[in-house]
Amino acid sequence: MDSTMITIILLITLILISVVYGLSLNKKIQKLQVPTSPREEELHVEGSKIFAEMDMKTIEAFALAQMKDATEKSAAKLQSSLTNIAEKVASELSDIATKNLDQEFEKYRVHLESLRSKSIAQFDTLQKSLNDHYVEQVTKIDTTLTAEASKQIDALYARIDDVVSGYIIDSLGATVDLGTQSSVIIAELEKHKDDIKREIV
Amino acid sequence: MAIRLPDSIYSQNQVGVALAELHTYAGHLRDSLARAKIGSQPIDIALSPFLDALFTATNSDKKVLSGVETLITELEDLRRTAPTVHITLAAFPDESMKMTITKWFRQIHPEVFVAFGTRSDIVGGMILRTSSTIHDFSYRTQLLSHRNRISEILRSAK
Repeated sequence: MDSTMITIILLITLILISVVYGLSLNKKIQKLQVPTSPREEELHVEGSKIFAEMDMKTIEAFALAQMKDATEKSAAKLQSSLTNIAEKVASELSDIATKNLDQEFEKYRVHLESLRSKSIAQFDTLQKSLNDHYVEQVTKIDTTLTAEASKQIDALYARIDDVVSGYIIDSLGATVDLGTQSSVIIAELEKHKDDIKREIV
Repeated sequence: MAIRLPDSIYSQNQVGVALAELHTYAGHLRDSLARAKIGSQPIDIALSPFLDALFTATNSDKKVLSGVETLITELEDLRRTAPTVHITLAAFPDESMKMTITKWFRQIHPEVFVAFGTRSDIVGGMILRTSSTIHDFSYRTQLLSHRNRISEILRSAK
């Protein structure tokens, strides 16, 4: 921005210098056109009018040529300067735009990166929460299923116990052989002899 | 001193039967003594093997009336005071088994009576009832109380 301003100021200064130079030339021309002495008027009056007019034309032509030349030079310089300025301005604008855009893009990039990091962190938290919940639910279901299966198996075995013991009782009930049981009965009595003695005596 | 009953007499009912027979026998003895006094021929009385065993076991003289009367008195006292245990078996036991069991109980208490009963649903073993307690040694109870052993065996066999 600073170099652009300097260029513009230089351009304005150049234009002002050109204008001042043009005005000074104009004053010189006006001075050349005004008669300065009575002697010259006398010459004008006395017959030197042709020379005077010729001088004026020459001077005018010279001045015009000078002015044209100066103007062309100034225009060329101005053209060159303007071209350079335009190029510089374009270059500066391009740099500024690029710089600004880069800065803005960098801001957006940082912001997006921050958002991305936050999103990833939130997703991680969510994922962890979901995983924990999943594990908890699976464990709970597994525990429930295991308990229910164990309960059902226990009930089945209890039923088997009832059926088998009932079958054994029914089967043996009809075929009792006390002869083979007497030793068992006496052994059972011996086992509880002290209790029985205490109750009888 | 209380008399010691033979193991073949194990129940109060048997003692009751023995007492009835002893009373009859004592009457015959009195009758024989009276007949002897008048020179009459005494009537020969045949004792049952059951009563004969009782006299042998109690070392009583079956020809002496006072001894018989003493035996009657002792038996009546015994029937009134002796403890009784009740044994329930899966089938009715024979005499040998009854005597075996009675013999075992009389090691603990020499005057104890044993009453036998049957219940086929106990499968085997016995249920013993004393005056204050019931001991269930039946197979049925043992089987039912340990029926989870069946499933334990099944589980361990997996």
